[in-house]
Amino acid sequence: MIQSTQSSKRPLWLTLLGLAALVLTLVGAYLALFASPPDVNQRELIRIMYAHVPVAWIGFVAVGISAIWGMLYLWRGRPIDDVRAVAAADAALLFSLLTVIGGMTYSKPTLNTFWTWDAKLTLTALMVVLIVGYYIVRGLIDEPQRRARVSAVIMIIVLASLPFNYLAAEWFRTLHPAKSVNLDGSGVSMAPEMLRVLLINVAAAGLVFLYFLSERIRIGKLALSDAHARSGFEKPSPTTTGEVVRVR
Amino acid sequence: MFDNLGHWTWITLAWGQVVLAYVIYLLYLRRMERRIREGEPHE
Repeated sequence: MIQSTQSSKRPLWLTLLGLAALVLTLVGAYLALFASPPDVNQRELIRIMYAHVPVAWIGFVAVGISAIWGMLYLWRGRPIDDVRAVAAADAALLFSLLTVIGGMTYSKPTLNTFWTWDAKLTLTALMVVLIVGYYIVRGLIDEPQRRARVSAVIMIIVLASLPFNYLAAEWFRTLHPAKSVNLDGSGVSMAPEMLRVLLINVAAAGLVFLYFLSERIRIGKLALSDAHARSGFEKPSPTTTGEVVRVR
Repeated sequence: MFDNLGHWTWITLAWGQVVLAYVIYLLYLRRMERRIREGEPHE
């Protein structure tokens, strides 16, 4: 049994981050559900957009961060980079699942269908399948270094699919609405009061992501130390290159 | 089955699933940490 150490306890800043995420989520939910005006076309259903769009954006960010840490693992071979990559992959799975299920919940009352196999939705479903595959592969490979390398490559493939996902609504016919906030500099086609509420909810989802990520990395480090202790290392060093340890 | 649901039912479902997912993930993290601290297998 591993002994609790000062470094493995939840630091104060992490508790404060969790509280900040909770408060901003409550504020965002209040603004979305009660303060935002109804939409001309969707009326009250626009309030679903404030839940759906932030989780979709943060899901993309989580995939990117997991892939970057995966690349760092491939480069440096440090177990801690794999711990960080898995932490971000957890969030990528959580937020991308919410994107798909939330999208279906948004689509049924507005477009009268839960799902259609067009490019945008199919690419999003493929992203979820690939992230699930990431965990299946991790469960199948016992050798830690090989497991970390293969799963890093999978997440890099997921990252490579994101530009196609982002542009699919423009390139192909799809039920998914065109983007209201464009990253190519062509501007924002959304009422300013709605945009403010959306951005507050994006910030809230971002804080929740940061909290989950930090908490998962802390627990991952704990597991890494535990694995070192079980394998007979006197002093765990999660940043040491090339060690064979079992981490989740 | 779903055709007669009101707007606020859909809105509640959409926001409720986000809150539920957050809570489930937090419980999963707590369970993982407890298992590690108690020395149980956590693969």
